[in-house]
Amino acid sequence: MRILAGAAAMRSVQFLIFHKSPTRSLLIGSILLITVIAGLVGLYRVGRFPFLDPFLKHGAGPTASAGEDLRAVEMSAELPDEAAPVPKSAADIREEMHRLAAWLRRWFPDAADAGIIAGRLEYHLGDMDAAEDAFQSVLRLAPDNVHAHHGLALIDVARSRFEQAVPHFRRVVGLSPGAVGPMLELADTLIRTGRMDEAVDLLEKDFPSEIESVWRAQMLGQCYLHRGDLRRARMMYELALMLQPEDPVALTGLATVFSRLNDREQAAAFTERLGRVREREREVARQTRLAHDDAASLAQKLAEAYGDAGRFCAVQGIGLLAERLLCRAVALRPDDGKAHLDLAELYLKREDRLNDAIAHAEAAAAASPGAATNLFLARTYQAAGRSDEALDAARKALAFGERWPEALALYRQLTESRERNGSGTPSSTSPFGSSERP
Amino acid sequence: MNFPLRNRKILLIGLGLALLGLGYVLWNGIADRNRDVADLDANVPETSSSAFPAVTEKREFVTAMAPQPGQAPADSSPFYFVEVTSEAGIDFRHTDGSSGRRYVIEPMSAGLLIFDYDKDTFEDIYLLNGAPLPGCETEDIPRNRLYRNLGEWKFVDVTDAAGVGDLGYGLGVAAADVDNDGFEDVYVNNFGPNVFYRNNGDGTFSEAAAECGVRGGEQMGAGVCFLDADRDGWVDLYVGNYIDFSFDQHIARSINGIPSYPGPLDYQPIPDTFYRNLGNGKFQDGSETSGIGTLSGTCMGLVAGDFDNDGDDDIFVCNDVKENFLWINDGTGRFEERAVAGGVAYDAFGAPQASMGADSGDLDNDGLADIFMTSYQNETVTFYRNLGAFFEDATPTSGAGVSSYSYVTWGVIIADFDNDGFRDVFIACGHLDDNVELRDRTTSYWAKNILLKNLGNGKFRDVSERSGPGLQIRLSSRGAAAGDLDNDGDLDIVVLNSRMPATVLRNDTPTRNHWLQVLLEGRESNRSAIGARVEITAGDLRIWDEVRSGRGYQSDWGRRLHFGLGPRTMVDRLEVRWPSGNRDVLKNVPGDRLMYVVEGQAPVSD
Repeated sequence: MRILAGAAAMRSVQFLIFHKSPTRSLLIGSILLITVIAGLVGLYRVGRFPFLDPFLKHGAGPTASAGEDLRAVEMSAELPDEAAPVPKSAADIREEMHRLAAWLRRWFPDAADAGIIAGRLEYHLGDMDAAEDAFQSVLRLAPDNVHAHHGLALIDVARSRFEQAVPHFRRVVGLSPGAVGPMLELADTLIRTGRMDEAVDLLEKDFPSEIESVWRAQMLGQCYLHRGDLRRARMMYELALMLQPEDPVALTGLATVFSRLNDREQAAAFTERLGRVREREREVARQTRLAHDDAASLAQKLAEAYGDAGRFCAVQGIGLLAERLLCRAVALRPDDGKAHLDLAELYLKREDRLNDAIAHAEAAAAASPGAATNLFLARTYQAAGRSDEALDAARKALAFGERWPEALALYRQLTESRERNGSGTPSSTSPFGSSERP
Repeated sequence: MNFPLRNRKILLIGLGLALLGLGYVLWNGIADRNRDVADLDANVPETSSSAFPAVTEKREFVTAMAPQPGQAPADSSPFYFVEVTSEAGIDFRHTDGSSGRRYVIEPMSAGLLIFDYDKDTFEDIYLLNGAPLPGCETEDIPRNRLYRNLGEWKFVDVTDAAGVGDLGYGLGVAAADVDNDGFEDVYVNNFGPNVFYRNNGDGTFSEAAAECGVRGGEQMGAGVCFLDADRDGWVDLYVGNYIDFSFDQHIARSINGIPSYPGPLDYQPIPDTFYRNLGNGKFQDGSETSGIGTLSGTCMGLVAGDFDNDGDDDIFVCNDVKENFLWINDGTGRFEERAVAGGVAYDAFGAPQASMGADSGDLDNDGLADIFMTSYQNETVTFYRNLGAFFEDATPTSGAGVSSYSYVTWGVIIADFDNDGFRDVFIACGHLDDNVELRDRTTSYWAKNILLKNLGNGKFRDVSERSGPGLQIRLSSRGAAAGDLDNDGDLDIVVLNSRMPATVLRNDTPTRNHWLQVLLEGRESNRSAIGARVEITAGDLRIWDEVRSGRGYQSDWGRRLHFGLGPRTMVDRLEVRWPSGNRDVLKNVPGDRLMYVVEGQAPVSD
């Protein structure tokens, strides 16, 4: 239909124009041509002709990358620079959270990941309208984005729109096959809307049988209690107690079950036990409140958002922005192992920043000791030619047990490399003196 | 037409390119919508689970509304309430005595009392007020206020004449005829020493808390109720205490950087107090012997009633962020706490709630006293349905939690507002943080109150939006009480609003339903007939109610029992079960009147 309309329009324009003077025709044609070319250039600048990139970049040389860098510089100008002080007060942190969310939405309106990060920031700030808008825009880009559906479900719950939350939760379950968390959340919401039978079906039939979950057992206990099936309710609450011996919900449930069975002795026993658990729980909650630092809590959320945004930019290939964002993340939260690791990966690609890569890799390994961080540290040392330290890190990675094949391969590679470089001493290829895995 | 071939070609090329460009843009738009999700998700960065309530983390939010299959459109409501505060002459304005320091006591505000203090058949209103707290400078000293009902929606402030203008920080109030002289006395639960106003019978009161032994200490009070716990004909007194608080224990709190109030978890819970009426106008502290003093709680609202149907009054106590208490009376005034076994300690999910207020009534006409409780934001109200030996949280399946999740709820009234024979529920709403919108846009400091219509099948429907302008008022409401203020056969509502004028709502519900009101007077039983049960049979309708003192959110009303009869004009049988054990039965009682029933004597109607 559009093509027919376009052809008809062209015909009409031709007719009109051909009746005018040739000079005017030439002028109109030139204007049209210029307009079209300008439009195509504009489309290219926003990435609509990716197939042209290789040709234009190759031909243009530094001009194209310089253009991208200029854009990144422009974008980064709105971010706090490395020298900017870390916000201390909760009010300042809140302000920075708002700015980061706005920045993400402004510069990456068509990126679902950016929308998710922005939406979560707004959610944490309590601005549900903005959060909902962010998640909805993500769904317009990607209708099956699980994080957007999850965010919208939580917002619906916060706004008492439980019926609207259920389909979003269902979508999350459908998009996360095998993931039990979404199932549990969906069951929770179904129960809260009185749809006990659906909740039972979900928890009994669809829930992976090999996974043990206290929450599942609690909810099934509640459903069976509601049905009056005291036998099954008792089974479920006892299962919950087996999985978590001091679970107050299970204790409450069992006290209720035995009360209904007229077994006052058992009911009293569970009630007494519950009382002690609740007292401890209350005291812990009190101490937690006393120690709670509002600003620190907000700073953590902001740091995580910066980390997520940095990783997003790294994936997009915008190294300048990724670095700025990740640096801010570690400034806010120096013990953020993941952000250190991401920064180290970024710097590892640049020969002039190898020392920074090592520094961040070491910080990551210190903050989050594990096979992965030590493996990465080993590789970083290796890149810097520090073989002894690389070997040491590889040995530590092995000690954790995870990713054993990878760690062992790297260890052997490092050992062989050291031998080839003239250590002169034949050494075992195993860090434990044999090739056998401990 | 004479057009050069060369120019024509240029023009055609330009138009062709324009069409190409347009086509490409359109194609990209279609392709975007069908973009492969797998590619997108592959690029989703790993995010820390603690940055957001992740899909694997259990949420803490609470109960919700139930689906309403075949629910009637929201545009139908039988109720109609109109605000008549100014017209009635009620010029009371509440103050919380705040100065910006945000003491925990400030947002608790207060309750109110509807009772007939001068026995002129018109229900009067007593409203509690706060007092200046440290840092608050004011020339206008707030006081409690008593408004005498002159009839025809005219009230007059008789506080000074009556001598009930207490200057203390009022929190909870209840009334009962403590000395059985025929006139209702008033007890005010304060932050600090409490006040007991003995009714002199001539329109005045005398403060006698110290003399009667019920002054209490410096605790932060809460709800209060009278009940004849030992059925000796003299009403006893249950005084709720909230937390162990003094100004030097104040803790400054903030949420996401926004100043907020401390909560009950920041302070130690304390036991409630039980005073036994000695029968000579004096009370004795019976907290230990009764068992009440053996447990510490964070009492807010409370309500007494015969929850186990054994003929004596038990007490349900709302504890804030702690398990509720259900004190079961053994008939002698000794109580045993059985909330867990009774199913009312927690919500359906086993979680303690920020319980605020509670009222009791038979919501499903099964002859058993149910409980309806209010609570905090991100928790809904809770409908505990009495199943006989225990209760169940019927909120999800009844629809009772509809609309309340986002709000803080306080006062609650179980009453038949349209006289159809099924009791409805009024809920007073309003946040305690006056700046909550700065950090949370799902709620608001000022909120509309909620009116739930009882559908008669164990379910409720929120009809607030269509119940007249009175339900559209947005304030931060606290205590609420109901009474037939104009004696026209339907129940009106009075609401105390934090830091604002009170709201008086006249019930103008257009209905042809009939009604009956019953006012009891004990002789062997306590004069106020507290604890007496009235059962009515009218055709196929069988309903009952109990005389209570102290209910809702730290408030009191309802000494005059109100029954909606629906289309029935005659009560076939009316039975009164007195606390003394006596029974009176009346037959063929015409509806649409106020009946006075004196224990052991022939009934008198108006």
